Amino acid sequence: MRSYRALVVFQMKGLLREPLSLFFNVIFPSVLLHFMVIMSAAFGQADTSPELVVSFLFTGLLALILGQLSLNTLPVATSAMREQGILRRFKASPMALSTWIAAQISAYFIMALISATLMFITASVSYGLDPPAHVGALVLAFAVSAMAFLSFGYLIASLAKNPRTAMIAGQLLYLLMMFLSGVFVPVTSLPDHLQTFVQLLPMTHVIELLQAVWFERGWPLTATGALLVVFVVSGTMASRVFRWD
Amino acid sequence: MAPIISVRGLTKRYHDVVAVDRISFDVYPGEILGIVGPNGAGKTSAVESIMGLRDCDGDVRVLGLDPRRDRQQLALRIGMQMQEAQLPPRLTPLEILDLFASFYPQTVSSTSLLNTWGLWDKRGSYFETLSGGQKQRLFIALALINQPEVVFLDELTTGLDPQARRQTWDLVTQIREHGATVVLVTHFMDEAERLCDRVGIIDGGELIALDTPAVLLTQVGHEQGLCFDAQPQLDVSRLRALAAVDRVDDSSDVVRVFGTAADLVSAVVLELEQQRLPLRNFRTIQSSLEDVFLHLTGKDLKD
Repeated sequence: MRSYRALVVFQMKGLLREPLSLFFNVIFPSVLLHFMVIMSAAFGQADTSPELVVSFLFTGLLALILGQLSLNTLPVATSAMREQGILRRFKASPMALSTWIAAQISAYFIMALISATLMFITASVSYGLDPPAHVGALVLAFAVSAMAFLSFGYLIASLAKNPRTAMIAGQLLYLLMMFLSGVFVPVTSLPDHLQTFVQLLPMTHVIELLQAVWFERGWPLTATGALLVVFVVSGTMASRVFRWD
Repeated sequence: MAPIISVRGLTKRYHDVVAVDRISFDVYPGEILGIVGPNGAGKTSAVESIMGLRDCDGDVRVLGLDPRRDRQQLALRIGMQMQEAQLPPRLTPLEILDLFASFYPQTVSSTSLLNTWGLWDKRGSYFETLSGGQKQRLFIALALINQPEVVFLDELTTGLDPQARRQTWDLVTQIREHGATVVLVTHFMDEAERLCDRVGIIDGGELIALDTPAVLLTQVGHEQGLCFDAQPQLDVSRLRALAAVDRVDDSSDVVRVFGTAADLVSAVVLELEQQRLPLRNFRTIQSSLEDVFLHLTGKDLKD
């Protein structure tokens, strides 16, 4: 337990002391929220109430926070530590791989919570966004989503040969999901032939889950199940193929 | 005395390449054992297999444990400084020591390690800002954090300037004074000769010799050597013709003369005076482990 706590703190320091990671993971989501609100005001949607637009964008950007942390930051940071030989030094200690993975995923989840809280404050102060009726349920949905996404990111980190391939793979998946999974445009407005494909993207289910909880449409079992499958499958595969050096 | 490490027939293959070929040796409590050999000889593969960091064939016991089966148990009781390992660039020495301390049930306090290894003033600086010597001292401190019974040091002084190397040698002696057994891997023969109680020489994956430096040096024989700066006017053939001289190596800027006769030095000095040549940087050559390596393998270690 002591090593788990120490490793969580270590990972948090890594995220907060790296200026790029600090910007993209903590500040950027709030900036993007402003930007998207201005964009949607400029491009009409006059029939939709501003509160609805901000709520829709807020939940979409929650998914994007997880995407950025899991698909961009985690794989690059982990494979960079492998390439530099930092993981080699950890391998030589009696610490277990499961402790290492659990601590890294926990730290990244704390980071996601910080970023989400900051974005909520921004939305609340600037656009009068009210907190959801069931805050606890939203945090739980966010946690389920984070576990699935971070395990998926871990799989990329484990498979990637070096930080360059990790970055390319992560970026491609991130951009694909950002445009297709309903962050900015509802999935239902996509052409029919894409509908089935987007169901294969984990972020589609994250947004489905977060929006269902936010708009009080009940807990979506299909999306939850899909995310649990992503969590178990990528988690198992990642722990099998993970390399310290 | 029962060995603390026992290695029998250790073999390490990478696909078709045999990096370590049926090596056997013992390490006894309290000694500093050196493993020397040229780069790529298989030294690191051998010790990393012994520490449990790589799969291998053969029978290996460290502190009575099988490193392949009981890696984590073993990691609690040994310390290691690894070749090409790094530490997180934006963590301070104090944070690094505290982090690694959390992996062990019993540890030396980070504060005392920082003091012992001269890092107290640097405790709050990021790892990336430390000098090569400071980083190396931190790696040693880290290797000692769990009060290990055996410490493995792999290419400890590579990349350090001569002064920092000599300081590091003193540190290795201190580790043994603290009661640990040390396995030192190096490609510097002078380092092994100076520090180690016994030295094993590895070449091409095989252990070709293992003994105290003094015994290894007797293998080279009683040949004496001397050298001086080459000068264009020198007539080497007259040197070669001297009865006391067995062979002359004038292939570099420094002329080396070897022989077993007792009057080698006086004969050469007399000859140089007769040729009216000044004695520039005239000195005798002490046999070293490098000569032992040359003698055993026919290869010059520096090539």
